[in-house]
Amino acid sequence: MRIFFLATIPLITAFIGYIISMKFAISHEFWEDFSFWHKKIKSEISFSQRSILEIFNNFEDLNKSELFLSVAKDYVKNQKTTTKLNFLRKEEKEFINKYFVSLGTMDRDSQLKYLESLETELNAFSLNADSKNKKYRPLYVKMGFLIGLVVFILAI
Amino acid sequence: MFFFNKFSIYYNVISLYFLSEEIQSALKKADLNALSEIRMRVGFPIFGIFNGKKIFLSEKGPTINKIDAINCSHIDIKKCIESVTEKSLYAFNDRLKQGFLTTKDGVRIGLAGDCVLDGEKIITIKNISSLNIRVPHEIKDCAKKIYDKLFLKEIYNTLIIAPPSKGKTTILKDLAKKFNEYTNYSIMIIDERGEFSNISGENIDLIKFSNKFYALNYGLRSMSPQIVITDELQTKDDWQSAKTAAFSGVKIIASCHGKNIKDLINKDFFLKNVFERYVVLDALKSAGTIKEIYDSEFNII
Repeated sequence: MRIFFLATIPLITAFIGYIISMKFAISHEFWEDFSFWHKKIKSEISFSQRSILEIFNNFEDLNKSELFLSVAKDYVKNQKTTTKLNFLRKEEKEFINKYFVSLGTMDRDSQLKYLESLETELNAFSLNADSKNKKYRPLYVKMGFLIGLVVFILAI
Repeated sequence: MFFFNKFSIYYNVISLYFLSEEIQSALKKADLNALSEIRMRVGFPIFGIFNGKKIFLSEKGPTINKIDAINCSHIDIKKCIESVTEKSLYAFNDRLKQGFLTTKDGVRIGLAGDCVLDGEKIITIKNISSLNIRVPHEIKDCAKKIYDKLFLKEIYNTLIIAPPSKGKTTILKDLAKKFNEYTNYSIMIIDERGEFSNISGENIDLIKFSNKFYALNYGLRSMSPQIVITDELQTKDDWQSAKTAAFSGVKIIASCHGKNIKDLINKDFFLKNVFERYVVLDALKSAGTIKEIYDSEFNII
């Protein structure tokens, strides 16, 4: 009975590792949605005359999580967001602010040029989030499991 | 009471939701039926034109004291533009280039600022510092006299002539409604500036934000209208398009800036024999008042 109880420790610690690693998944989804939004808004600005609000409505079914959309809507409406973005670094938060504060305030050509100027930075954040997600998520789970396993071995 | 006009026949004033709360609250105390224009210039007092008179807007409402008036700031202009464009200025690019924006309700807002040029072509306007908000009114039966006199028996190609803000568009809107209501003609409205947004009907086709040349070329072929209504003939292309329509068996009713028939004849692009009737509106009286009607040979009828 005792061994059975101890055997659950690696599973529990692996789960804790999984929970901790969730921030990488959230960040990955956030930046993936952001990149997708960026492509969409550029195409909308180039080829249609829909307002940002209309584009938001159309974007709702296309994004992976609702987090990005809620942050974007907040910024467009209030120039800031109340959503806690703990999974983001300071420079990432500054970038989001820079991106949305000027969105919709320029004519078509200037807006497209402005968005293009931010593309390299956006891609870098997106790639970084993707590589961190691929690297650290399995690592945290494995580490959790290993720590649990060590505790298990020491305990028996 | 200050602006009460017992002869007022205006109704259905359109929403001015895009103005800042301060200006809206000042307007709440004013007679909006008498308001035809709001002028906003950065660093200067905001005023409205009420029954043709310049009246400042203060926190307490309309005032003749300049000192009490609300001063227009860059933020007021920015907020107004953001509200009209739903923070999507890029979507209004074509209108912006022409120096105006139009709200969903058909309120036209003229803009002044720094023109950005690419060669000789204006690509946009930046640092917008002045707004001229034209408050449209629906004036019940304002086109009745014209309709009864010119269109009861047959339809004439007609040009309505008046200075800016003297009710040309209002008359065209009322005429469109009357044709829709009392006849079975197919009506095509060419609305370059989005000012006819609130006009619709079973016989009305509305082509918005297109120039007259394009709209007439594809509209005549595709929509087969019997009457074409369009605002403000200005350029050579506009006059040529009107001529094309008039010589295609379609009846055209249009408007043009001018104080009298001489102003019209002296215009560079004026083409004789396009219109069979000219209606000159009275610039000194309330919007939509007819001064004179001329036939194609400029004889008063």
